[in-house]
Amino acid sequence: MLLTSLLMLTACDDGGLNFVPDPDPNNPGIVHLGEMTPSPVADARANAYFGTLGSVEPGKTGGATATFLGTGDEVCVWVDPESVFWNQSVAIQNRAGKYAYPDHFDDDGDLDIEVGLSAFYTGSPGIEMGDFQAVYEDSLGNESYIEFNECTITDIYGQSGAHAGRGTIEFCTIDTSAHPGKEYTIVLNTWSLPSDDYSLAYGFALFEGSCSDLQDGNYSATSIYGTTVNVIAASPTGECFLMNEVGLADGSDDEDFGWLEGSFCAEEQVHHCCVQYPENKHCSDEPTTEDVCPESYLGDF
Amino acid sequence: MTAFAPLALLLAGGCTFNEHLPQVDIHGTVVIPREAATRQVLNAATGQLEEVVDSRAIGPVFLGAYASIDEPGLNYDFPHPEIGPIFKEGETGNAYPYGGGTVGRFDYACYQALVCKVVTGRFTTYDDILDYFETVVQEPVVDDRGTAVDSEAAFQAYCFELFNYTDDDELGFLTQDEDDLDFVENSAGDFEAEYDLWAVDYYQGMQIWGWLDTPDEAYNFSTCDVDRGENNQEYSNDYRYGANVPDVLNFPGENISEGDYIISAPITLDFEDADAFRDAGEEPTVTIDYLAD
Repeated sequence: MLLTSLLMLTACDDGGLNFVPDPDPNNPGIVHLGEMTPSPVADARANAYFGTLGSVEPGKTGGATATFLGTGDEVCVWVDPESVFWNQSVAIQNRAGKYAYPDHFDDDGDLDIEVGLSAFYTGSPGIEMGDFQAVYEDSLGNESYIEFNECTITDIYGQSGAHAGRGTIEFCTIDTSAHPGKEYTIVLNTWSLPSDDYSLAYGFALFEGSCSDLQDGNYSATSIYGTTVNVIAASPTGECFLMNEVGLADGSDDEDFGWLEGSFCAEEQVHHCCVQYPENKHCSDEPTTEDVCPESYLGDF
Repeated sequence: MTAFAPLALLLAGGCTFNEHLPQVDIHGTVVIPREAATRQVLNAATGQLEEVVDSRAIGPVFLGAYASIDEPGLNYDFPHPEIGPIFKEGETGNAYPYGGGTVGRFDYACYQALVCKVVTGRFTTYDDILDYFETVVQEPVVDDRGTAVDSEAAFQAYCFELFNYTDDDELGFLTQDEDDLDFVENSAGDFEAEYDLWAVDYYQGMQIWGWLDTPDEAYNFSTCDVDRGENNQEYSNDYRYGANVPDVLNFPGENISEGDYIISAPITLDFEDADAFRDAGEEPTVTIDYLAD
């Protein structure tokens, strides 16, 4: 009995830190990208920034920050975290069209955008992440939190406070007309790191105008089957505005990812993984079986 | 048996345990002027406009508890709660209410023609609704194919089919008992209703304030959004049930429009704390009297 009690006490002596990756000094988890200038939409892809974020000490949040000066007009902030994500189908019918092939979960990370006037930012760029919350005291002396984050993303119910999920583009149009020439801070909060290497590659763009103006940039992407799609600020083609964030961020120029991303934008990623490149490391690590890759795919091309 | 007596007493005493919660439930009466229940109706026989007083014409009443209420002219042309800082172009400051509630709410009454036009606590039967929209609003109810709904049976059958209901009790827009309708005419000829503001954070000096949303000439309410709410895709239908605009008590000035009635003399609760308010048993009566123009 005594031995059991001792064993149970010992079992509690585990804070779980062994499950948390150690920070890598060569791949910091908190970075400041400095001041950036919004590009014309036509130059946005060429001027995009690609980088990686690593893990931070337990108990801290990681991410990247950058600043820009209000243009007096709208500015689009765009981030594309590694890599691409799609749901595994649970449909009985039309499984091919409903993404039967499972996504590779372990290579996806998630960055969430916040943008606000630098005057309201509580973090220390490059040292500690912060937010845009401040305290408002009413005439009776009661305090409420005010959210100065101007990047409000709505969910499917129209409520603000939503964010895109892992491996998925996220973007925000910021109206700087009230504060031209004033400094804004962009915060890319690391919501999750890919569990395969704890290194999150991402592409980041800042351009003049609304994010919906992206279609004016005449961007396109081509799948491995030769299908060309025009890029707009919506899924799935928005994923192909900043192409190959994985390869460009770490310098590996990962061709596998580029092909998969192009196929994703053309909604051909299942066929890509099942038929063309089942060995692509960005496809699922589950065995390729007829169940997830029906023979009927072959007939589509 | 006597051994259980102390236990029984203890259990009985448990029901009176005071948790000293900082939140209070505020119950009271709201009074609205007779004019707010009055509509101009065209008399087809004479071609003249006539005034009709009808409690069914009373829209939803929004009530909240606020730090203070500003005089007209400060941020708005009507009495309005103090607001927090404005930091974004085209937006106003948040009024940060301590809590609030409504007398009546928008409810979807089965047909697209009634989206954002029916308020709970105003009607007792299907016929009541059909009669009101035909004689007072003078826009007879039509079904989703544009055909006039001319019978209570058809109305009920459509609702039951749509919601898979089997009893009128399940429809929020119908008040089963006439005595349970929200508003009644008082001795002065005005209309009054009881209100409840549940679990309001109590702060000494806070003020009870609110307004009545009245419909415009086209019978649209500014606090209801036809593009919100559940989606109706029955057969060829493709529209939403309508729902209250969000944060209506946080941004009242954005939702008050010409013709709405507002409380100009808010009630101040000066009890020291929530316990003192509860002990006093105060049931504030608020009067909505200021016409927004």
